[in-house]
Amino acid sequence: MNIGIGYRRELSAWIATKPAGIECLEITAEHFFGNGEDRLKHLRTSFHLFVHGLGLSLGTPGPLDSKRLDQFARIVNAADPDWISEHVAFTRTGEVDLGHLNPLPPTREVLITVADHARQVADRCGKPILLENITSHVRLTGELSETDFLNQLCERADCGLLLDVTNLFINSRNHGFDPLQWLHEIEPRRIKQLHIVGYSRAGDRYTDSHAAPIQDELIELARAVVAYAPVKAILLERDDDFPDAAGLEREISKLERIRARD
Amino acid sequence: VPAIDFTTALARLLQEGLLRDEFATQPELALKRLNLCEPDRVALLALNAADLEFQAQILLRKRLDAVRHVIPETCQRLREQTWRLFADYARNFWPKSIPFAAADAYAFCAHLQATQSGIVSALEWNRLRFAFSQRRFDAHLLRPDARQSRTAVQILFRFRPCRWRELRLYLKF
Repeated sequence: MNIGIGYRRELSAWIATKPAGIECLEITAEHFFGNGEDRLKHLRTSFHLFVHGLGLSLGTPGPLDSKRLDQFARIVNAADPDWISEHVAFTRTGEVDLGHLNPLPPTREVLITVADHARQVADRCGKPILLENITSHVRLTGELSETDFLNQLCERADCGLLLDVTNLFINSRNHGFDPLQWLHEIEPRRIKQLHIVGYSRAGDRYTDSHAAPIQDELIELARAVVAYAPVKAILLERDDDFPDAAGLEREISKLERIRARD
Repeated sequence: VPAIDFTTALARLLQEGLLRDEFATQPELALKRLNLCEPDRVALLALNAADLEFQAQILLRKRLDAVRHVIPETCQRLREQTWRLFADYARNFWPKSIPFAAADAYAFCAHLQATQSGIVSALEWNRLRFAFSQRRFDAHLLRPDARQSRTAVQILFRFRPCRWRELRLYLKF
């Protein structure tokens, strides 16, 4: 299992030092739209790369945004990643663009939309695709449970799951379910990659600010996932309040603890 | 007008604060206003209004995070009022222009200009107005303030329709 970090401009100087323990990088495609393809070609000489999307809006009914898909494919071509990933979410509808990830109801109709779009992205890019679970503060209902939805989605799209351990933990706390039971309802062979970062609190709610050090409960949950599924990579997904080099190394050492499973 | 589906209705609710207020107090009326298709009514009525409001607040926070990168100085001046003022502005306004964060920052600054005279950074306001204009060239005198000790001239020039540059010349008196 490889250990890595989400590539962010604020981390570029640290990453350029090729820090010990960093074996792979996750590139957010949208951060490179319009420029930076040469930087990707350079990065891929030192690290395994994965390309992660934020804005393909796989859950929006109708055709994918062809311009965005072309931009995404161009980044994939430059990065030549081991795989690509997107979220089980929507960011826009025909009439509303929210600009950020939002939850989808676990219905058969939504499942077909997301799966067909995921296949289309994978075919266009010529790479395997993983789909990621998101946090939701609203509990959406449908014909399927969330875990059945994800299993059937992976089956129909012929794809893997990028399990965001933090998102799973946050949803379990906010909606009052057991994350381990949830985990064991997911087909283990589907889980290929993990995201992890510390959660935050806003009153009695847990949130994914992507700005906190990884807490012990998350390490425990991630270790349970690694013991359960053939995970190939785990990445720190920090987006804000970036620590200094020593702080980043401490965070990476937590990922090493997860991998060690001792 | 065709009826809308669950996802579109959820997006509208997350986008429009007044619609969420109505959903919290009179959900049937809000659904009628949305013109939601019949099969999705039950699922939408099952939504918890407080959860929906929190989800919408998270979206507003993400918008503010993006806006902070565009107008850091203005946000620094607003200090702990930033979130309250941004939420007041953003709860019922959603930018449509691209790039999204810059359009949001521009609209937020315009809102502040109208309600909190003198709080917006002149440097950032000049830059945003130029970015969203068709002008080829602009120049402004920036007087010394807490952030810069010397008078400066901010020069903005466009060399392609969507490409422009900024220079600042500091004056010695």
